[in-house]
Parts: sequence; structure tokens; C-alpha cells
Amino acid sequence: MAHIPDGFLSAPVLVGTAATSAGAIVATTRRRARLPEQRAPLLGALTAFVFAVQMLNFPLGAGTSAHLLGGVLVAVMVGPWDGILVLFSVVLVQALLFQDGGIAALGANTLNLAVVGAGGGWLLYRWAFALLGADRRLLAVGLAAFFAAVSIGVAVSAELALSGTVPFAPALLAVGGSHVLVGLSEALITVGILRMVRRARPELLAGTPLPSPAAHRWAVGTTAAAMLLAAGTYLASARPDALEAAAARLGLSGADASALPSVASVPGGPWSRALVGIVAAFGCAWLVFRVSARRDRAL
Amino acid sequence: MGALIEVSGLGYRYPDGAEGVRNVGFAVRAGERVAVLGPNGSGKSTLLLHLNGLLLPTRGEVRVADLPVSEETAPAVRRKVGFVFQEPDDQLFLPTVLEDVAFGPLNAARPPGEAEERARAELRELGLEDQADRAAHHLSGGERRLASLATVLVSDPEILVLDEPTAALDARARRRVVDILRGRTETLLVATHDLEVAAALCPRALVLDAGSLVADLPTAELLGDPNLLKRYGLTAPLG
Amino acid sequence: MSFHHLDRWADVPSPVTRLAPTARLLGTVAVALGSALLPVGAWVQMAALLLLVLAFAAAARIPVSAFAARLAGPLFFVLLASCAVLVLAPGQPLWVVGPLHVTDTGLVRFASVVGRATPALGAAVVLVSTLRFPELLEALRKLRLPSPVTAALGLSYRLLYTLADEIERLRRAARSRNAGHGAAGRRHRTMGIAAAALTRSFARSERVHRAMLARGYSGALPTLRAQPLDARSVVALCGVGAVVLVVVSSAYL
Repeated sequence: MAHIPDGFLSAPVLVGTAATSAGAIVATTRRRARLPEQRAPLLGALTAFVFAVQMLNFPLGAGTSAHLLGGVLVAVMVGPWDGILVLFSVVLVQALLFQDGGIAALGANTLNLAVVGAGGGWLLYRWAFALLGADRRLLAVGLAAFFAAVSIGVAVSAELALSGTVPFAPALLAVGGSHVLVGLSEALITVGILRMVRRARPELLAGTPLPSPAAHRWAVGTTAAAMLLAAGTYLASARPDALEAAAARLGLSGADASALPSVASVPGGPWSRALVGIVAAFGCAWLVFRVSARRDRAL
Repeated sequence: MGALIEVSGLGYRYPDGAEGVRNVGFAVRAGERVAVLGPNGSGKSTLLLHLNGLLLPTRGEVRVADLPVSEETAPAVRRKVGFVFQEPDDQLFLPTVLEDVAFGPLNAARPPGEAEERARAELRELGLEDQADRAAHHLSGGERRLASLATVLVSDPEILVLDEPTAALDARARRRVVDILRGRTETLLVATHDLEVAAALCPRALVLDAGSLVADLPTAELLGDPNLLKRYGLTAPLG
Repeated sequence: MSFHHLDRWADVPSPVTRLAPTARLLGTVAVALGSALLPVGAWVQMAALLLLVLAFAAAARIPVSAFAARLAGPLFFVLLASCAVLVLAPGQPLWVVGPLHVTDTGLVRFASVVGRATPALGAAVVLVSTLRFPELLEALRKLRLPSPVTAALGLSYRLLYTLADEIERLRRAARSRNAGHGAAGRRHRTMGIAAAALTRSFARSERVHRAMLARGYSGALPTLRAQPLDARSVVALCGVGAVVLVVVSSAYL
């Protein structure tokens, strides 16, 4: 379930996601304010394309078929900002004219499909591209499409859980789990389409600058750090007493090692959690802007 | 000051290196009607796109109303040249036909009320006033062609450039388009495969072949000589 | 792929279509938002909002069968998705279906999800049936949606129809070529269609851009005069807003 209908999310989550995605859209618009006037027809054409392609059935075998979300596909071709705007336009029309995704849930769906799906998907693509190198562009696209779809699933599960509609663990299993499958088909189809496009009109995929050696080192570093963090978190949750022992040895005696910060422990109920979520999202966004602005200046 | 359009030594090379036109030169006086003929790939469209600055020469010069066509002068040139493209769907891109026809006046900074009036008047003149609030895909092929004509005529350009205006039209629609164009007084350049249309509209014909201008002669003379027609690839009788 | 259901009743004059597009859009959003914001278990309020929607559907002269038909698809999906809510919620199990426990909280949540979704979906159905696409655009512009979005949407309408035609042609061509068998073959064919549709979209956007430039386009999409918001629309909108406000706040008090 990528498009969330109305009725599933609670008021705080609706407001929180709406505020976050509204902020994202405003920021994206400002970023593209000096829109080269070429872009309006292109964005219109891509909006129409994503709309149409989301309706296509891609047979997977055994009577099942998949649909394409298209966030990474668009972002790879026109960049994250235009990708976010295109996906937002699609989600908007789908909610208003096709009852695909709720009207009140527009904020959440924009956040999931446009900001995470296209914007986040583009970040994942750049990360994977820097990690894997110029020769493995399509592999990077595939990885980005997969992880972007999974991220959407995680986001949907989180929103459902924070709304108190479904507990987090089963939501993550059901929605997140199904999005792992969605991710596989998304990767397969996105790469397949881009490979064909590259054969016919290679200049359409020329947009992304090649990753620099510095970017490559950065990608390797962050990937290693992420894997360490994941492994560490797993070990910590599996062996809490070992963590306490380690904390005691480091002189942190008295600290409650099991009180690792988590969203559920934010006091004050769902509204303050929503506020924390918005603030955190804006904080991340500010960070991303600073990094990308520095890089733009360096170019 | 003499010719309204002056093309001298025009050469255009596409970004991929292919040559579009090569050393083309001709002049068109105000009020003239010229057919641009030639087989597919001869460079007709490429040539026409230079007349309103959508393509800029890699060699040579194009002057429209004494303005050398360049990136800076392109907006001014486009106010004088009305360009009707091959594909009506490329020109009817707004949700209603009325908005499409009003697009030109609105971009020329006419106030919205006046733009709407002019658009409705133009549609009325072409018999399309009932289609004004409909989307272009609800119109028939012939009506769409007329609507695309309206989007350009509404701005009263001095020069009309048409790229295959009767392509894919049935006989009646073709007749309609030709009658409308016959009644106009603007300078006319028409690229077409349809020799009957060329004969009906344009006393003068420019013939292109593989990017070069191979003939500039009265249309009647061209059409009366089957050898010429065959030589320039304009007919290839099946018999 | 059919978009022909769009705005079928938008040309039928009714009290609803006589309202300004912005009012129609905001009214729908108000009802959908109000419905979605209702707390779990607010049955009376859910019914009240549903009645409000049905009243508007009747005022818009939408035939019952058409309304039901348009509502059925999305509502069915909501029912399907909320079955998960039914069995995943914690609480006292009411009855057991195999490995799945339907709990009391699950039932309440399930009913609440469906109860909130239905008026919202109904409002959306009324909107799509009574608002033509150009009017929707006009409303979005009036509401100050970012201009890159409204510009893109404005052009996407026609581009979608021409693209749908192209895809249909590509499909017919692919079918007649009979390339590939089984799921993998069909998938490959569909990907080919999608890839062709994508490259053609780029090509068409370039041609449209040229046509726009030829008619003086310089970056902004100017629009014709829009209907000003008339008094009747404002009153109607305020009325709907007030009703929704009363209904929703009564659920929290």
C-alpha cells in the first residue's frame, strides 16, 4: 500500500506529515525558482508519464503483476528537486481526481512518494553511484530503487503505527515486508526501462555528474559506518547486559543503558511526537541543503 | 530594404554532426507565397525552423524584416512570424482550445479580457466557436488542424510559416485549410509534400534536396515538367 | 487506461457546479479533512458527515448508480486494507479465524477506519464528478499552489491524453509483433512500451516547448481571467466549513 487512503492516520500524524511535506515542497520550489523555462513542458510530460506508467501492469509470473512507483526513475533523469515536484503533482491529481490516496492524507503520501521516494531515492542513487563507480550506474539505480521502495514501506508503517491504527511490528512486517517485494520489482523494472532508454537516447541519461574520488571515499566511509551501526544496534538489542557491562567499564555507571532514545519514549503524547518528527525532518533537510549547497559552490 | 525574408549562405549542422541544410540562399518579398518542396530528409523543416529563430544558423545569416535572427532578436522575430507545426497536438497543449488560442496574445502582454475576446473572435472566424471550452482531444482531426492554425493567426503575424499543414487530413478538411489560407494576405511559406496544395496556394516554389536548394522557380513551371519533378524526387510514378 | 469518467457531470448545471471552483475544492477538502480527523469511535459524527456528502451528491444531480460505481473501487480497497487493522490490533479476542484473532479494539478500529474513509471518499467522488480539469487548475492557482506545480499540471492534462494514445498504439504494435511468451516476455514487452513512452515524452515536451516559444513563451504561463469568488460560493463554503467544524469538535468534547 503505497498510497494511504483517508481514515487510517490519526490527526497528529496527518498534521505532522502535512507540515513536513509542505515545507519540503516550498523549499523545493524556492530551490527551482530560477526555473529554466524549458522545464515546465518537461515536468508536465513527466507528470503525465508517471501517471500513465503507474497504471501499467508488469507481469511477474504466477498470475501476479507489479506496478511502478517511478520516483527513482524520474529523479535519475531530472534530479531530486524536479523529481519531488513531479511526484507531488502526480500524488495530488491522484488524490483529487482518482481517489488513489486520501485528500487529508496528501501530506503523508507526498512525504512518502515524493520526498522519500524521489528525493530520498535520488540521494540513495548518488550514494550507490559514488560507492560503485561510473561503470555500475544501472546497478546503483537498481539499489536506489530497491531501498527507496523499502523506505517508503517503513515510512508507511511508521505512520500507521504512530497513528495507533496498527502496532509497529506487525505493520512493519506486513507493509514493510510487502515493500521489499515492491522494491525488487521497482529495481527490476526501473533498471530495465533505463537500459532501453539508454540504448535509444543515451543523452537523456547524461544528467548525473560522475562521482569524484572524494565522493567515492565518502560513500565507502558512510557505508562502513552504517553497517557498523546496524551491527552494533543488533548486538545491543540482542545482548543488553553486555552493553551495560561495557558502559560500566567506560565509567558510565549509573547510566541506564537500556534507555536508548526512541521515538516512543518522547513524552507528551502523539502531538509532541508529531512536533518532534517535524523538527527532526527539518533538521535533516537543513543539513542536506547545507551539504548540497557547499558541493554546488565547489563545482 | 527590399525583401521581408533574406536567407544567405545558410548552413546548419545538428549537434550530432549531421548536416541539416547547406548553403541555402533566397529572398522573399512581402506578400509573396512560396512553397518549400522536397523529399523527406531534404531539410524543409530545418530550414523553416530558422525563420523564427528556433534554430540558429551554424553558418550564414537569416534576416526577417531586416532583423538578423539571433538569440537576442528571436522574441521580436517571433512576433512577426507565425509558425504552424506539423503536429497539431504539439501546439494544443492547454486544457481548453480557448486557452490555446489565447496563449499567444497573453504572452504578448495583452490583458486577459482582450486576449479572450481575440481568441473567441478567431475561433468564430474559423467556425470553431462551439469548441472553445473543450479540450483538443475532443475535436476531430480537421478541427484540430484549424485550431492549431487559430493559435497562430490570432496574433496577426506578418509572415506565416506552415510545416505540412494538410498532412493526414481528409479531402474536405484539406479543402477547408487551403480556402482559409487562400483568403489571407500575409506572406506565406508552406512546406508540403502535397503538390496540389502547393499549386493551389503558392505561385513560387523552392525545392530542397539533401539540404541544398536545387531550384527556385514558378510552381506552374515545376509542376508542368514531369522530368523536373522526377529529378527532384517530388514524384515517383508507380506505373 | 481510461480517463473518460472525469468530469462527466461537470457540465450538468446544478447548485454545486454553479459554485466557484475554489469553493468546490475547499469544501471537499474540508469534508475529507474533517472526516479523517474524527477520533476512533465517533460513529454519530461519521454518519453526519456521510449525510452531508450524500446531500451534496444529490444536489449535484449525480445518479445514485454512478455515485456508487465510482465509490465502490476505492472503498473496496479501503475495506481490504483495513482487514489488517481488524486482526492486528491488541485487545480481547472476540472470535478466532484460524491463526488470526479479531479483537474488540480491532473491530472498533476497523469500523473507525471505514467510517472515516467513506465520507472522505464520497466527497472526492462528488468533486471529480462536478469539477472540470481546467476549473481544478484555476482553483489550485487561486490557492497559491507553487507555480512549477500548476504549470506542470496544466500541461500534463493534454500530454496525458496524447501519451495514452501513444501507449495504446505501442501496445497494439507490440501485440501484433507477438514478441515473447509467458510472464517474462510480457514484462519485457511492457518495459519496452514504458521505455518508448518515456523517450516519446521527452521528445514531445521538446516539441511543445518549441511551439510555446514560437508563440512568445518566456517562462511564465499566463492565464485567462478567472471567475472571482462570488458571495454565494463564499457562503456555501463557510456553511460547509461550519458544519464540519461543529461535527468534528463535538467528537472531541
